Amino acid sequence: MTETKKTEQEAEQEAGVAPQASRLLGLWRGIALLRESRIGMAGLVLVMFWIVLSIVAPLLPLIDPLQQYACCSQLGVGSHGEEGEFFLLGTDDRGRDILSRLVWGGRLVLFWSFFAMLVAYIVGGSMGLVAGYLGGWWDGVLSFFANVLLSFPVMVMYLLVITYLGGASGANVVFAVTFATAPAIFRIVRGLILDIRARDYVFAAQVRGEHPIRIMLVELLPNVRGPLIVDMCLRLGYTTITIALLGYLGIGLPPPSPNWGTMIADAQQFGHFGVNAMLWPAIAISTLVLGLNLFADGLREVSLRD
Amino acid sequence: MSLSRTPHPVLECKDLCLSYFTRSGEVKAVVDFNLSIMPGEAIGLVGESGCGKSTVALAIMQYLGRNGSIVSGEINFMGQNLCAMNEAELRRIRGKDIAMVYQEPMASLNPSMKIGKQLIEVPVRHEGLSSEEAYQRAVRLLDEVNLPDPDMMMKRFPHQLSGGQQQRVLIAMALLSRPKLLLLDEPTTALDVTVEAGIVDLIRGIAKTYGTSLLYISHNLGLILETCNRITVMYSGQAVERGSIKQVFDQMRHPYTRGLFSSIPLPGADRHEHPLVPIRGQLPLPQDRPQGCYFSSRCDFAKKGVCDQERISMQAVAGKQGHVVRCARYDEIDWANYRPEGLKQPISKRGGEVLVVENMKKYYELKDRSLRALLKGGKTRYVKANDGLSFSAHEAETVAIVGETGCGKSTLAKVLMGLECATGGSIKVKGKDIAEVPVQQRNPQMIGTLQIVFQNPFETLNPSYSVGSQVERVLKKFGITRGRAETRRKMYEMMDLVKLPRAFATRKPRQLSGGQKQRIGIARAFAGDTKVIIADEPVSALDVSVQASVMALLSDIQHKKRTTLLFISHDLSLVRYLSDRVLVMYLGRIVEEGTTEEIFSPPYHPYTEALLSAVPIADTSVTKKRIVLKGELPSPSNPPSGCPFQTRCPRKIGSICETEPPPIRKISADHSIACHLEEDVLRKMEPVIELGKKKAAA
Repeated sequence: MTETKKTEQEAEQEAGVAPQASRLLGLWRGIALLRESRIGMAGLVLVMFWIVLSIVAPLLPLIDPLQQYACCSQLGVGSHGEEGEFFLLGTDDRGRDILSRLVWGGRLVLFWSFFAMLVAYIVGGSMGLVAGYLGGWWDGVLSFFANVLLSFPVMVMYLLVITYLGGASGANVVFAVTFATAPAIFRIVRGLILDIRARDYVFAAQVRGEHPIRIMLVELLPNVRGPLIVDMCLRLGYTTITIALLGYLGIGLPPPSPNWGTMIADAQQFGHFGVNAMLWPAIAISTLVLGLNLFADGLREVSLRD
Repeated sequence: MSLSRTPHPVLECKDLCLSYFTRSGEVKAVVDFNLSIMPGEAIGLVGESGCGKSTVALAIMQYLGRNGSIVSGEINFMGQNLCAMNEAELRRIRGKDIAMVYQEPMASLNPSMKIGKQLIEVPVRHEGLSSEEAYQRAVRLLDEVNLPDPDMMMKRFPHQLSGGQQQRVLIAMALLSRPKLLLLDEPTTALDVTVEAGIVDLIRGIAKTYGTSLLYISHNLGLILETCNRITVMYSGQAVERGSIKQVFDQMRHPYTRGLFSSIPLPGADRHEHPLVPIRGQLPLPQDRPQGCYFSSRCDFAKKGVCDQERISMQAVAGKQGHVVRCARYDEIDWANYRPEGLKQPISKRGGEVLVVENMKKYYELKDRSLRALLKGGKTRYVKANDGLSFSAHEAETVAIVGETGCGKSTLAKVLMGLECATGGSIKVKGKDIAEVPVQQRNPQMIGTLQIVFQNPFETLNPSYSVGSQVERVLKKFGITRGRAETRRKMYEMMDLVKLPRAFATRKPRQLSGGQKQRIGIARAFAGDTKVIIADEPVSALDVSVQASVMALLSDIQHKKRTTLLFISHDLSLVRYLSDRVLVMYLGRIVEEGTTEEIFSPPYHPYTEALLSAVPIADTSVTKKRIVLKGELPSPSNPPSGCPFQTRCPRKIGSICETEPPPIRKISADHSIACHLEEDVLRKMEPVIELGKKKAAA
């Protein structure tokens, strides 16, 4: 009798402690796995570089990114200003420090692209869940809307949405990105859900009378997370490009706050003075996007292994 | 036998060792494997999943994949070592001299190419025949594998054929260039029994007609008995016993072979008197194999110092030519006095009626949305998935529902569970009609009384959550327990009930074996105050040695809780072993109903008779009448007039079968048959299965 009680207690302890431990262990194993993928690691390093830089930007001894040094426009790499300021990457056409604008701009770009991607995922993902699981009428209507949106040229859609909403602003950028990418996310999620919605564990949930919303969020969603995480990484990269592009076109994040797309657009007008001011933001965009793509590739590679 | 007169083997595997190289190291899939196949001979390769039998077949085809390789040994085909050949030489042999038929017929045919084009390709490519000649030969072969109207077949796409027809096409394709060796990897596993019987008939004739040697891979001992001359039994990557069918089936020497035979329900087994004996434990992972004899961890005769020596090799059984066994103690074991403890079931007395189904109908509307249908305004068609089912089930009774794909047994389960609403009739559980109450409108207690055990252990549990939490969810949902501590305690009790260690509660489904997952599925089904359990082929996806223990567990709990068990299955051997009463369904209707004994002995419904004869039985003393059904299962959207079975019935009397639905003939109080045959004709039927003299224990 006492013995059974003891085992019961032991089992209870095990059950209580183990889940958290196993979750941590799982994370550790995930990182260990990723270390085996060289491209994945390269991607992670690039992405982490920009993320860490954005986070610590306020702590860095950077020159004010908005400060215009009238004397010192279009300086080259490693020049000094009149009062001894040091411009590591030079200055732009209005005499602002490129390095500082790059770091602060990165902070902005990363924040807004992550936010826009997340909103697009919430909208497209929930539509995909509903269409995939409930099917029938829901699927018909939602798929029709998605197809209509997908048939617009993306560029036209951005212009329409942002000008309609009242011009350049962070919120409008998020709106535009959501409009343009939610249909694609919708299709991915819908396809993944269609694949697993006829599994027996879904039937088991239906048979014990679970609410459809619970089935979608608790039974289905966690089982498609793998491919979705990979897609999120890729999509974050695309969104970064989109935000830079919108900035370049002048309908993105409003000036004067620095962002990479606007930086390129500004520098381009004075291209005859040299490409320095254009080159750095371009490099920044490509390294971040490349990093995200490599990281997604690495994740996929690792997840496909046995 | 003098050497000169011995013909050379078609295929010879010598001391073959095959390994897969994974991230965590080398996995020895096959160890020290020997095999020789003579011309015109059929060899059966039998074993449970993961024993390496398919790996052997892939090695013969030299298709081991990127991470698999032949570590040592050789594979000689017609005297040439296949391992030493380059890709070009192998391509010439594959498909021409060695052909293979796989398990999934649909996956083996190119869905976007017509059958004819796929067939012609083979001889054109391998023998340089003109496409005209190739066409003629393909048509002839389709005819020889008994496909109706071969010319039409050539013009069809794979999806227009049934599974059985597809498999026949694949066999024809394999035979097109007259191969010397044909590998069959579970060719009938995906098919219904009556269709399987036809394919087995065909395979049996191949060796004789074409002189082709066969390697037949299967987990089903009965099929091997029906098709092969010799058999090799594999366990955990090794061949453990080899011999002629008679030697291995009647006088098996290896404890594993013995265990395999005692865990399958042969006629004569009885859950009350002669219960099945499952093999204890689990198949070890390749890296966990015990030293010496791989089976020693599960063997009742394992002896220290004998069974754990460095290497145990195959030894010839004294006085039996060709019978070899990999057991160090094979002649010491005293089988005559070995009486292992089986899983004996006490007889439960059936109680009052729990479930009463009356004239239940489930029709699905076939919506034709085409423009033509709209213009014509044609009438709506219906798929009659369940067409007037009436039966009842009592407390503590096991009722088996038997039938092939499309007979409506899954629809019945869905209607009972409330996932679909019946079109007509009534379903009363403890007096309450639930035929038209969908699951959303049932209260938790009602849902809890009626639960289901699913077929596929790999899909039955949500891979994202620990198994314990999935059982707890059910307890909470049905309002069985309140509060965390109580729920957890009850969950542990459920784990005890299904005989799993409590520590397993925190595991994810992928950390459990198939049998263990199915146990959790059972725990989940019994979590509520369950009155009726529907078990939809609960063990068909499990290995035979595990099947017995899971089934025993299920009926054990059923006995304790006095639950009604509706056991849906196509495996008649299992049905005979487990159930008290049987319903035989065909195209949405019940064609025969009776106690298990009445169903398995004459008089039979002609369909039951065909089903019984189609079941492969792994017992050499059994003689069966062979009835192979002609034609295909008709579509339920367009069922035949009169008797649903008339299109395939071997005992059809005449036009009355086509015009009038059959009357129900009461043979006894419990036994009824829906057939036009007169009662005295039915009573004169001969038994399909006859047990020979029970062989003495070897």
